[in-house]
Amino acid sequence: MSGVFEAPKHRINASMLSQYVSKPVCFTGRVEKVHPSGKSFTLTDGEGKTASVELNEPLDEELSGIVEVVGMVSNKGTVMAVAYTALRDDKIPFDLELYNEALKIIHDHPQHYPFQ
Amino acid sequence: MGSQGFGYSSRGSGCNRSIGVSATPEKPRFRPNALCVVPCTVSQLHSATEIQSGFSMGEIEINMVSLVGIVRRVSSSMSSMLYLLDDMTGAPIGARFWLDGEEDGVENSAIPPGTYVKIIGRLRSFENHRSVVGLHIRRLQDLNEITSHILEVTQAHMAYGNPPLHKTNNTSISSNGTEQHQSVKNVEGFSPAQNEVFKLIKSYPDPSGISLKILSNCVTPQYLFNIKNCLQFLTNEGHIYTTVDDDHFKAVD
Repeated sequence: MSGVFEAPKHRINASMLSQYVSKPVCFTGRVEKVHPSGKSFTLTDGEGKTASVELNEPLDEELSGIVEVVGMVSNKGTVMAVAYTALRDDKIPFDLELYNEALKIIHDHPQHYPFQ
Repeated sequence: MGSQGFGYSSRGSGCNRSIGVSATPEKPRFRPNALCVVPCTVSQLHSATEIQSGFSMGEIEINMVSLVGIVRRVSSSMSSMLYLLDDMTGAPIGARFWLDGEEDGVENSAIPPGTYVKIIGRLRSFENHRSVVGLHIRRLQDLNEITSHILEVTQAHMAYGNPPLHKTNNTSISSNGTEQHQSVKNVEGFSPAQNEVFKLIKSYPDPSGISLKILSNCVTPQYLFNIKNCLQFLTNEGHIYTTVDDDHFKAVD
């Protein structure tokens, strides 16, 4: 699975999940709910749609705010996370809606923002 | 001092430190062309073509670049810090910052892995391996810079008319970049300039035709010198005719 880091990880939102099954992706969203077991959580994207993220090991910390997940999309449409990064936006809030607009632009123009 | 022979251009104190950046003696240290910092993705750095004066991507010359990404690994030595930068577009690229005792924008206070940073540096290729010679690195305080960098990259490459990689018609995209007008469908037998002039005349709504003045304003600047020849050709071939005076043209239906 560590091969995921060497591969291009398409930046996507929830609507695009179905197009990237079995592909490495980078999903950025706001933490909605964390499962009591700590092994999965849901993220909402800039369009308000939800995606489910599953982890290999349970979370060992409180997770909230904006999180960037890198992983593979399962055929159920969930993100099997290989790594996640909490984007600290307590000083300056992260504009998730604007990020979503940028995602749509780079998906419409893959030649200007290529993923390998 | 004096000249050192072998075609070396002596630069005062000479080479007191072979950094390995300028491998060949003939290559001067500073490139006057590389005055712009081009926002790029790591994938673009990997796929850029090596040209004589550095690197290029289609029309754009890329040497000094800016990147935004997450640090995956940091390795330090006595003389340099190496940051492995991942911006999700491909395999992470190494950015090496040489430590020479001056602070100069290099934040030696540790930047741990997992931090989002902005790096400005020069693209380098050595034995087919691409890397960045780092000039400036800083942590992102405002993570919206991730979004703004994505948009800046797209805008910069779009503005330079980077042709689409996969959709190539029969029109060859020559290295001079003369065939950049993908939108204009070529009429058989016309050169690109003639084609554009003809299209402009044909699409002009005024029944008395388009004036030479307006035509000159609308046509692509590189074809301007040739406009009179194009008009002569089109008239001779019977595609256009003059109307109210010798400077107004209409297309034959």
